[in-house]
Amino acid sequence: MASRNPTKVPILLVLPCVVALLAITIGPMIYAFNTSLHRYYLPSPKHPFIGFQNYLDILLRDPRFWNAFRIMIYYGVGAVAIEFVLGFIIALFLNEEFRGRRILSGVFMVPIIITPIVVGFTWRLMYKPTIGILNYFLRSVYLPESKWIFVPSSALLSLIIIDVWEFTPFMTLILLSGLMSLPREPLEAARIDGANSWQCFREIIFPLMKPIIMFAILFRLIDAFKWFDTIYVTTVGGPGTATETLSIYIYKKGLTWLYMGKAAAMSIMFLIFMIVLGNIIIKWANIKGFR
Amino acid sequence: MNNKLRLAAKTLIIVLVVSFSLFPLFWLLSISFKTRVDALSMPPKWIFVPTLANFGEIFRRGEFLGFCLNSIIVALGSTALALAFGVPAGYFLARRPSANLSFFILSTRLAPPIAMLIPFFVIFRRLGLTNTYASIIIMHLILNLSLVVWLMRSFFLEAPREMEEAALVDGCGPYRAFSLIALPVCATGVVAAAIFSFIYSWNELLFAMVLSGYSTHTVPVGMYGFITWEQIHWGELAAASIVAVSPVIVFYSFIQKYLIRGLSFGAIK
Repeated sequence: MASRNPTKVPILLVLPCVVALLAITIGPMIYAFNTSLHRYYLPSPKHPFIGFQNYLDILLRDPRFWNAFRIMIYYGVGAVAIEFVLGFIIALFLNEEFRGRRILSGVFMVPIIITPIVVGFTWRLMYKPTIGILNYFLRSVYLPESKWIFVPSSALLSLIIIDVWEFTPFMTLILLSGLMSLPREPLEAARIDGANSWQCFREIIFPLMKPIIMFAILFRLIDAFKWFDTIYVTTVGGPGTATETLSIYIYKKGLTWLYMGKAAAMSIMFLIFMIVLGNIIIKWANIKGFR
Repeated sequence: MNNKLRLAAKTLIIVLVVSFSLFPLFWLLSISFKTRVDALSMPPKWIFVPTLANFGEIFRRGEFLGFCLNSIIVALGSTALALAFGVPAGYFLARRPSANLSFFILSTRLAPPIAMLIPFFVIFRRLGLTNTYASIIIMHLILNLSLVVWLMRSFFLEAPREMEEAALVDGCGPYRAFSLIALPVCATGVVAAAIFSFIYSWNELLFAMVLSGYSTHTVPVGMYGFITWEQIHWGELAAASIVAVSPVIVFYSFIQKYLIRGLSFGAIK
């Protein structure tokens, strides 16, 4: 399809979109960059120009920033790793035809679209140590209870569990669509030659799935790093700063404490980080011809 | 023998997965029908007398209905704009591929919402737009637009060019070729894109929370207010959650076929 001559499509069809996007993305980012070069405490009337001081202060003198960055990485990598492993296992099981498969996928994907605040609220309720349902289940099978999101040691993991609940279906379905599009011949040939399931997986399925695996992991990783809603509703970055991802920290800095200059500087750096990460995913999607 | 074992293992996994996925929702649903006493009693009451009082209460209060209305206005507005700008753009990208343009439109997906919010908050404040629908609708465009563009692009790519080319040969202008030929063919795609966009706007919390004033709170924002300020009546909160989530689930049944395509922005069918 790409080899055909492009039809005469007027550029006016895409122009409004581009203009709109420029206005709502590039425009504000320029404004944010400008803000980041000033000491911009919202209530104060004066916003003196201070050059790159904000950036230096954040990078060199703000351990909370690095903590937030770290927590964000832990959250993203932790959640996506679990989602990937679980997702793959479930996808392998779903890869065969069976009755009710459609209904099953339908049901399975529901967590993805549930309003995040409802997800956050529900899990917050379930996580309550004394009256929550999760500890009730643990008690009934004589397993030790947990304080889940209310203690720093288990808070991040509890949030990761919520993310896993919400997005494993997404991972599963992407991997499943990849599995279903694999050519059958290599697998059949291998089975005839006597390979067992593990060998089939390691030597044939996995290598062939590499591009789609990369796509799924990076796509999810980008979303997990950006994530805000459920974290805000369940822990607001707490207890302390145990679950304070970069998104949460920027929110607090700029919208709770009103240090717009610093928040803007962190936003710019966050954006650069995401663009670099995103470049990788786009390169992979293009190379393998996902169109 | 081996087959039976596999079948049993598969069934077990399926049952586990489905129950894990749906349990929180069912539990929420059960709480919404429980009275104050039963709602969070420990040990939980699996058998109880259901009541509709919670649902009645949240609508009686009046503000919840206002939140729903606000959410509908914001979601419809954002969807309409996203479609108006995005569908033609998706068509353009499908028929006249351009790597740079594609990259630019897709890159808006990468922006962390909070990063976009910081400058916009200052801008909207200066312009006095904080208690309006317009500010939230514009912010939602940031994600909805790239979603619509890429989703429509993948639909238009599937539509055969021949019909448009035949029309062009017959003297039809390119705009009419788009609107009278390509568009009707991809009508389901447009509906799917609209639903995705609507769901996203409906569910969105951050932008709505920061940019809305008292009279423009959307459902997620209103509910968040319930959680933090009001003396929490779990039954009512659960009922509000169920109501908040119902339109999403209803719409979801329409786009289930396209879910993966929508979520991966058209990259995967």
